[in-house]
Amino acid sequence: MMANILTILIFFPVLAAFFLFLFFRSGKATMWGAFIASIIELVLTMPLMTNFDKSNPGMQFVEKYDWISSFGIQYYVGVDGISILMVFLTTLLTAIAILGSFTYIQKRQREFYIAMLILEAAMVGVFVALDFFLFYILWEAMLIPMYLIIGVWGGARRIYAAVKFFLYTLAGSVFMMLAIIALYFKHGSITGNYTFDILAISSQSYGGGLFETLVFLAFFVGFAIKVPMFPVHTWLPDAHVEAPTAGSVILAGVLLKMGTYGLLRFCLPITPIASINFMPFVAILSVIAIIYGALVAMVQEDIKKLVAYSSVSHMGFVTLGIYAFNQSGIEGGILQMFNHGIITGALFLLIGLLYERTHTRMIADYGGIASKVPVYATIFLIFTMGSIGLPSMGGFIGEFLVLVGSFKAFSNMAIIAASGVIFAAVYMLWMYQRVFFQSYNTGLHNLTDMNVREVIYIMPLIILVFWTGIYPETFTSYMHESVKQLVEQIQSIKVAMN
Amino acid sequence: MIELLILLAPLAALLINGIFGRLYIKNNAHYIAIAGVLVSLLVSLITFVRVMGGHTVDTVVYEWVLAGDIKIPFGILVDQLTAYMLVVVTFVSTMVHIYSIGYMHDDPGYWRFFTYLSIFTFSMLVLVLGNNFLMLFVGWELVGLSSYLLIGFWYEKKSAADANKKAFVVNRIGDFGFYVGLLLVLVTFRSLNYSDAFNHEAIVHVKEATFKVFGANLSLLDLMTFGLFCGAIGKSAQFPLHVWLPDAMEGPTPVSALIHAATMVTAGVYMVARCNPLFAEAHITSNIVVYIGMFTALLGATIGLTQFDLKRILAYSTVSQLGYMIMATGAGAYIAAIFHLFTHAFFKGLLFLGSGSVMHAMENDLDVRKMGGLKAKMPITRWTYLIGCMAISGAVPLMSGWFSKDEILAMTFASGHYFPWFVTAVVGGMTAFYMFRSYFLVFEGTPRDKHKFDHAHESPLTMTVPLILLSIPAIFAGLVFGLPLENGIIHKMLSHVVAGHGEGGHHLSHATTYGLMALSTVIGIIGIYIAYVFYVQKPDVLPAKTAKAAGPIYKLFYNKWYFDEIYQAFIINPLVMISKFLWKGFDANVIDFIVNAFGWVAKFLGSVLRHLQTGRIQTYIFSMVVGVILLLTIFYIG
Repeated sequence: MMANILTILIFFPVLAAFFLFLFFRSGKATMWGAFIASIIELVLTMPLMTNFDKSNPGMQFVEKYDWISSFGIQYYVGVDGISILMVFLTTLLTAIAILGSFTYIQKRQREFYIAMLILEAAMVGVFVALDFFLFYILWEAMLIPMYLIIGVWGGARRIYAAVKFFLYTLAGSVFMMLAIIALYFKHGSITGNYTFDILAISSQSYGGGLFETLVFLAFFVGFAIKVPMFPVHTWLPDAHVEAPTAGSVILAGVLLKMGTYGLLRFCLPITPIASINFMPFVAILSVIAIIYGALVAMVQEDIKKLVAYSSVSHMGFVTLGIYAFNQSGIEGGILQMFNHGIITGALFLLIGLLYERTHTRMIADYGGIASKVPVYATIFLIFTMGSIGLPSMGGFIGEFLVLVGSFKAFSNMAIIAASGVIFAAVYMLWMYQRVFFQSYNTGLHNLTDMNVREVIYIMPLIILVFWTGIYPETFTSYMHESVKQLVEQIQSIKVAMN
Repeated sequence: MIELLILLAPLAALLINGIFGRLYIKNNAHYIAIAGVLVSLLVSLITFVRVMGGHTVDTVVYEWVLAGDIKIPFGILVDQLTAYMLVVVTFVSTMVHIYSIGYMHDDPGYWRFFTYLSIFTFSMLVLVLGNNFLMLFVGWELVGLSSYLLIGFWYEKKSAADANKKAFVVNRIGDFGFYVGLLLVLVTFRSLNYSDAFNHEAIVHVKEATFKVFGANLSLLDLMTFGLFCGAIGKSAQFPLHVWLPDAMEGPTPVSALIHAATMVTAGVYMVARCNPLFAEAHITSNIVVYIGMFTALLGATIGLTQFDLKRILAYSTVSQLGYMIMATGAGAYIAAIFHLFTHAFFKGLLFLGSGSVMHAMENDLDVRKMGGLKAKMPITRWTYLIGCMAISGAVPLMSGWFSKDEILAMTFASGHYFPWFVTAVVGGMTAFYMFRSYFLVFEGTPRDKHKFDHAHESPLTMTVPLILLSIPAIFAGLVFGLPLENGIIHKMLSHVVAGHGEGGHHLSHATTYGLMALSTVIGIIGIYIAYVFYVQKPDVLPAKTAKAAGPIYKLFYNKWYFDEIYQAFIINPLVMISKFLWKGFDANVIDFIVNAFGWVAKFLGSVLRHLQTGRIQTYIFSMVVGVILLLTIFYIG
């Protein structure tokens, strides 16, 4: 089984979705079926994690079959230290998001849970695909269920948000597709081997000229939209606000990471010289995102929008770390991707369950609820502090490593980025105060504390947020070797450039 | 590794109370919390004795953060400095725990309060026990969290909810500098361990080095220490970040005693003393430190002169005393700073708990104008409060504060900082004045609120016993640890951790030392005498008359130099305005305008191209043929 574990991980949710579609008539049964399927998927991830050889920097659990051989297209999957945590994050958050939707999703339940499973399959596929064609198909396939989740089960302005999301990401995909096709022909013309094999394409040097720069830019635009980086971030607040809870969790927890994952997997190895040339540019954009996202988050009136803008700020740390091109920066970036998934995922779940009770997300409608919902208030505070980057929690370690890495690479940028720790405290605590503290807003009657199901799905995230903070080595040990290899590759090119 | 127990006991207490407190333990939470802190106290005392015998510990518990060449352990360091901090923290914490049984009695959040106390104790111990900068930072932030939780303990009050946010955010501003300092330590010494960063050869090696920041070449060590010191400015409430501490008095009084007087706020002093090998070589930073400390001492005292809220008087007194300690570290008198930290913890903890006892008697009213004559009703509180006032005034020879404060003044003088010495010597008189002002207003004279006075009563034993226990070190800590002058037990022990094994290498002749001490004693006595004249002899005439005569200066002091108003107008309001502009102006109008413009262009193109869809088959065929010909031509040419 271990030899085909990745294929199983990609296809199991699809098969489960088909099975549910064919044999399950009621929404409730589909819901439970989907939850069980997602748990099985999560359990299946465990042998992947435990059998992963941490001392091997390369691809593992590789499966490679010819698919459309006349175009050099293969079914080629594998996982390394950079992608494995993302696979885990995907299967974990999907299971949690499904459990978190049990009472939230009231209409068209069957379709919703089937969409979630298909989305999960595509997401896992994106992280393990090693063939550009396969990658692109999955990347696009992912858009459709996400578009539906926002557009069908979203809030009042869901259509606007869904279209905006779709157009933005589609625009990014077009650039990415151009880059892929260009690489396909260029690589073929240099080596005579026309292939979509990502590793083969990565191992070829493209000389750093105009071609490489254009390919870099095309990729960069595509991924920057996904991250999202300043100034192409405006789809995110709308998409988050309108998306149902599960949509927001997956969007923030997994989809955003695909942007930064793309930078790591494609921009750095395939276009290293252009990446190095654009290093200050990316660093400046990242720092702007950190400060800009935090400032705008500060004045938001909608809790979900506030968290959405905070994501822009936090993801800025990821891109800053990656473009430091050293081990602490990149490891910090990957850890920050993981932590942001956990913390922001949890925050969206928490906001969602409050919304279910009160049907409002406006900060001004709340006040003093800590005394009514003590468990909820405590858990929310844990993730608020996690988001602020309080030591003992994962967010701190990620941020710290990013700042160390970027301080070595561009100290001034790192100093400005570090000031983000102030703003994070301002916007999160101000929001927390207005929602949870002060006198109780009597307009909110019948507010009940978290129920058992809600505590259950939050619990793994609480454990993980402390685990990554207290013993991050469990997670960073996966990436040491792969990141080291990547850094050495970039650094040797950098040395050669000088 | 018995020292680990010091950490684990409060950790266990906080976990047990945190998880089971609300539903099961409820009003028994103090048993668990006190058991935890007692274990810490006991082991700390054992550790102290062992350290006195020369047994220090520097060990790694596990490797915590690993990435590339970065390797940061979870490690603990127990040396002479740690030993003093451990005793201060666990002793005052134990007293506050016991006191809280009485003080927080009947509060619906009883279990929560004790859980938070355990969180604080644990965090503060992490701060002092860590063997590297990152652990220091962890403790540093976690005490900030505890402070946040405890200031906002009564979160229904808007003032409390404002105060705890303010405390956290203002501290974060300092932490930002600390963070940068920490990064500089890491890139300079390739390690965050104290043992690597305080290595004499390593420091000498980088002594002349510069670091380029925003185009300016600055001395590396000065930059590094200044960054670290920013953390102390926040945590130890120094100008210009002192504004959070007075507001922190919104928290329950035991918290004010423990966190906002005795322990947490002194973390900055501890940190600078811990980093003395770095600060000693950073002359520019050290000078900044001296003047910031001096100014803070003056600022706190001037405001303290005019306040009517008993806890605020004490809070500004704390700001002022912290200024003394910080100034001492800047002058290289690290031992004197820690000595004052040590004695201050006892007498200021005592004073705060005393104020809580008064508050308890006065139905939570803190306005000293409504008090008076309380000595008849609450003798234990009165005597212990008086002991605290005598200790802090520096006017009563042989009491703890007399030793430590005079040592700070003498050492500042010895280091050649005559102006700061002069200012803080005068501030000493102000300190004596405002402390005895509070004492006279509260306990002496005639009751000014008959109703409240009639209902006043002495506090229960759980509250008075800690007062008595704290007054013992408030009297004797100086005698026991500080004699002979500048060569007591504390000096001998701490000389192991201070670079150069002395107080910045400055020494005064005995005659000068005694002369300075006599002078500051006299200044203190004058302060007390003026307070006596003002508030016992002519309380109805003199204070009001003086306030009127001082006019704008009185107003400036009374309104806390308008710091909050200035920050609101020049920092907070503009920042909110800018942010709103970025959101509604830039995000919505510029970026989305461009995005939508793409949409309009697409729509327009669509409406144009729509005309091509005529539905007439001939047109389609025609355009197809043209297209094919075009393509063929292109291929042919290409």
